[in-house]
Amino acid sequence: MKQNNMLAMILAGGRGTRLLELTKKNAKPAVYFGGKYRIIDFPLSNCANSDINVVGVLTQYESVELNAYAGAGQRWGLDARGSGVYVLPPREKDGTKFDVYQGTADAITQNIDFIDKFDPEYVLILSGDHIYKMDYADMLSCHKANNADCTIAVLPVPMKEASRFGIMNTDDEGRIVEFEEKPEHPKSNLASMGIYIFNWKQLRKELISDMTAEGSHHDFGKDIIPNFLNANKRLYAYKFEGYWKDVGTIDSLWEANMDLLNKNNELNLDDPNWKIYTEDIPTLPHYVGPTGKVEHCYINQGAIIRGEAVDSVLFNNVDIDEGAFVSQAVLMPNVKVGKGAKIYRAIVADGVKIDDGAVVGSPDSEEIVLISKRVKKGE
Amino acid sequence: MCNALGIITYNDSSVYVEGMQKYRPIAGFSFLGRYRLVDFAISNMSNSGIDDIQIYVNGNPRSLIDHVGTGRHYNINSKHGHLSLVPVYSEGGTSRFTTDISCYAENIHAVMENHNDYVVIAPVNMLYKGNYEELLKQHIESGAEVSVLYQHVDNAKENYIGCDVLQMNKQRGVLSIDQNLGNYKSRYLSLQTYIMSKEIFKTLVEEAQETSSMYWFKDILNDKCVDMDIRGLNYRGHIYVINDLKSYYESNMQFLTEEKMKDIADPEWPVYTRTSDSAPAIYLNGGTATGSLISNGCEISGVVKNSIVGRSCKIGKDALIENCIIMPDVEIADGAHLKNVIVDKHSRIAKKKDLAGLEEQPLYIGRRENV
Repeated sequence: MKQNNMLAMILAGGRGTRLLELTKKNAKPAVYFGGKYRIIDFPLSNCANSDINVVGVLTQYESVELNAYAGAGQRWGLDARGSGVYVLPPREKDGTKFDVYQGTADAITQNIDFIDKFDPEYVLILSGDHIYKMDYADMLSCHKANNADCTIAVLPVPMKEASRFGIMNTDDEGRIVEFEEKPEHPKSNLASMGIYIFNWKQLRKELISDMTAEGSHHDFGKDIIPNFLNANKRLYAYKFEGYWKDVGTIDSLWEANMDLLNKNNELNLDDPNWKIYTEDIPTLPHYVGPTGKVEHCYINQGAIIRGEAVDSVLFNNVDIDEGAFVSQAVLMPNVKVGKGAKIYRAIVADGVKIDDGAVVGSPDSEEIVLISKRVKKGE
Repeated sequence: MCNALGIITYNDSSVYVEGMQKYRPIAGFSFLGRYRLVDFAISNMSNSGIDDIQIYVNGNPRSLIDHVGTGRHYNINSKHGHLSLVPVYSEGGTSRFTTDISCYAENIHAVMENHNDYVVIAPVNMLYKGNYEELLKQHIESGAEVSVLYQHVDNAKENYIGCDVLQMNKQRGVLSIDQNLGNYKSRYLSLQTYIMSKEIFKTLVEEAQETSSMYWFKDILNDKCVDMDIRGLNYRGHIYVINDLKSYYESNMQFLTEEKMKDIADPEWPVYTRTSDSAPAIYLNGGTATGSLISNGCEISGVVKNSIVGRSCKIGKDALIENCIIMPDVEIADGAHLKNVIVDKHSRIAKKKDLAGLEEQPLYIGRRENV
């Protein structure tokens, strides 16, 4: 906690319904990405690399797997004295009725006691849904330099897409003068990334008044940020440049995986100075058999390839049998592809078996298919 | 839980791997791209439920101190378990000829104070999947005082030279322990893995010291074959013995057949190692591999055939790697051709080089060399 007096809270309760079957039994932050990672590895590794050593993970929807995963703080090096990853699902408290988190702000409100215990000067609010690398320590220095009450990370987006985002309008100094949620006629292209640094005392006060405010959605974007602006508090934008992707749909998840096949991809997961940490699974290096062939692929250890894989991302313990052909696909952990099977433009969920001779997807299809259960020949 | 203290030990000077051993002891040898040899011995013990492990290291221990660390990655209970690295130290002189007995004697208190009743001693240069819990049970049931793991081999004329071989009677009672001089094809190869009670271990160490300062553990065992009940325990799985550069090369290469690769990649018997948190390997345009094991962090733009490539290597465009062992952090420049070559860590093979060794005698490129 000492390092920079900032504690991070990751909002990881979202359902991610647009990821369909991938999030039916699993929360979105626990969804696999990039050959060996899960989405939540990104904010957690960013925290670890930014010298933040206490992280609360607010979980709610289908959280058993996510809780078990995030609770093992040593994966991100967050297990030294004074460090920790704390999994915080809704809990019953003395004197209040037990309820799920009503909104993003309510999730923090219900954990005020947790945050108080560490007595931080600053609180960093993150979402567990995005793929990016960011130095939160740098964001905090800007927050301090601006003498801000709240700093919001923003991403310049193409103007024509700005109406899909929460847009921050700033003055010349970067101070936020207006916030518009999905404006029809955007005045700026600075989209909120859902990453906030607050002075804890001020946020705490605001959360307590929001708790009982009538008509409040208990949401950062809808309530807390507008209230801060109305109260004429000092809100600043922190401009982020680099790779950032919301992998909220099957298409965007597939695209983000495919981005990794480009050597000069902006994300660069192999930067020795900003590693993304994840679960360590004991497996051999990946094995390409004498009949195997790989081309333009991103392959994790433990994969076995006896068939052919092209333009694909293969996770640990994927097994592609002889004569099989995999193209433009993302095969999650433990996927088995039978002899002579063909997979085109698809995401195959973890543990799914594609039988011998089965065909999945089509090479000319615009659409990306999600395969979440066994596929038999002729299906 | 296994009621034994594990001891991973080093070899006498009959085992020397030309080139590689200049830089680190055998325990620290890179193996199968992402491991060090010691990982296999430790994982056997950890998977067998042995929670207390001593690793004796003769040679520069730097790489191992870093690699083994707290031992947490070996899945040993982090509180009641204990993994200790014991570098062989010899005041004012070379430790090259320091016997295992003198190391055991120095640490005998730590052995005797340990709460386990038995010791399992395993060498670091022999790779096999050993379930010591099972073997200890067999040892206890047999009533033998010392059990020695062995395997019958029928290629001892060309292989395992200098390794220990057993003479046994029909009841598998060990009659003598000799050195394999390559005179016979068929031998009982000792896996130099010994199981006994702590008390017998202590007595043997003390008697060896009284007999000669040159005595190794196997020497005192050989002396005791007459008076003591020393028996062979047959090991049936695959074994890989590393006692020179050729056997190091061949042992690695054997894992390029799927059957042996899968045998060691057993999810029920994992091999643990320190993770480097590198990203998955990437194949760029023109990059491809067949019949190979490729580690994470690699960037492959050339062609890799029948080879093992360690973590975070770069294989340049139009490069061709065939029957090679490329250790971690090596860079092979565009257009280089390598066949039957072992490239040690952090080396760089520059442009348009043709390097070739023989299958029986691979070419070795030292650590941090620029070729």
